[in-house]
Amino acid sequence: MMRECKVCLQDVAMTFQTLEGETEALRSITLDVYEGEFVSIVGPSGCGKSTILNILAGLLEPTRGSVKVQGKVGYMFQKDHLFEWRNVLRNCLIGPEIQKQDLKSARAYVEQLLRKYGLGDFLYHYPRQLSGGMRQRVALIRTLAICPDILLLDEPFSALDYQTRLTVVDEVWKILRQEKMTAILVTHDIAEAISLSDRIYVLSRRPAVVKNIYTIERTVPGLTPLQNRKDERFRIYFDQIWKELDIHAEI
Amino acid sequence: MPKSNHLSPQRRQYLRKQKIQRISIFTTQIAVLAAFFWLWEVAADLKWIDSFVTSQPSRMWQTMLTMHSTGELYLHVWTTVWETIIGFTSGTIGGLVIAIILWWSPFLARVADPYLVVLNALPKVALGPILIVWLGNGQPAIIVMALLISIIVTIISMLQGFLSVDEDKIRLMQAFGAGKVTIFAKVILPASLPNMISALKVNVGLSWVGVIMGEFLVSKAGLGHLIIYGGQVFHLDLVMTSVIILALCAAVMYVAVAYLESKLLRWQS
Repeated sequence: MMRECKVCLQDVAMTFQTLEGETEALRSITLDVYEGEFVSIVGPSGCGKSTILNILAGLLEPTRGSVKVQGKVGYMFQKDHLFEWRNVLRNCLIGPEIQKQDLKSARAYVEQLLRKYGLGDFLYHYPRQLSGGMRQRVALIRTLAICPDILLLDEPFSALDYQTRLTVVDEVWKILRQEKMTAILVTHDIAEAISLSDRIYVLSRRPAVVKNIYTIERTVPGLTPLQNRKDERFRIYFDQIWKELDIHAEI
Repeated sequence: MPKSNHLSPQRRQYLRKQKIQRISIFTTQIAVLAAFFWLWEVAADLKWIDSFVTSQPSRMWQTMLTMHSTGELYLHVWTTVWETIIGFTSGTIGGLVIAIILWWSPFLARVADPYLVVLNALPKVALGPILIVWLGNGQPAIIVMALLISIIVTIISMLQGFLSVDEDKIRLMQAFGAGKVTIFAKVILPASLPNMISALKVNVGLSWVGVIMGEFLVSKAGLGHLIIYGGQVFHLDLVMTSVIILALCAAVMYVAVAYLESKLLRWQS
């Protein structure tokens, strides 16, 4: 069965220019993501992982290489960046507002998502009244409000404390699976990447190249990320990727 | 709000304590003011101080009543308040518009930077004589003085506010496909609102400074005119009365801005 390739990067390179000099962030990145797939990109910090997402979102023009993105992209950041002056509902409607979509149907959709994911009582609350986990869920629903085909996640859980993080990862994973999203996650947390992903791209240090690609197989498929952590192969993948990342060499 | 009969005794005690504290602070504030004026009055009566140079509350009151009956009071108050409002609004709006332009064009912002620094450091009062020569010795010179004194600070603080909005919030908007106008209207402006209000508060004060300075230099009416005139003819009753009316006007205007703040920033508290 041939699945549709939603995202396709071919030999992409990115060099940043500043007065101080030029920084080669990406040397050569080739990456494919298929429909419905959850792909993680892990790499040492500062290796240009976020740059890849910015290129995919169309915020940056790569210096070289071809970029093909099939469908609409939703981008979720490390911090929730909710607008403090808007209530939950209006925060979620910012995307449809900008894209001049029909606000009535967007509102109905957003309200439905908010109710479905436990925020039904908080439609008119302001962000400061929400917990960290709730804020992150609102941020996800804001991203989903424009009905994206591909979701870009830039370490969206790293601002949360460990307990919250494990639950939020499960919640987000459930939402993504139910909404049948294609997702690309950038993270430096190997365990998180293994527990969530179908495939993992491991990047080298800057200038980044793809060092290896792991296809994650589960003993029991279809479990939540938290349950996946108990999988017997989890440790094996973790050790392999850990070695590959060569983190100790950085210190 | 839960009804008081649902409150625990501890809670009720706490609330009562808070209320008593609030009332006692307010009464003390009033008492300090009353004591000050009373002491002033008595000291003048008993010749501890020379009421010719310090004036006296009862004489100030008399002055106020006379000015009230001749209608002079309202002419002067209105003149000054009007000049301040015009100077304040034009300085604020002008500053805001220029700040928006400089935010829009980083090139212009970099060009303007040294000029803003110098103009900000320059005491605007020094421009008074130039303004009189250019605009004549009338109200326009006074209003422009008030405007000049507030506009530069407004530009600088607004622009700083605009530029300090989180880069990622802008990236988020761009990822949704927002252009510069949308980003400004939906993120930069609302995010800078607290900043803008504090600029307004500063500007109210600065506009009063500008207007009174202007009235000191040129004027035929206004509280600043009364103060400088009263000083020249050693009519201290008039000076003191004007100063107190001025303080009241400034306070009212400040409270108005503070009220606006509470209305606009409801999401913050």
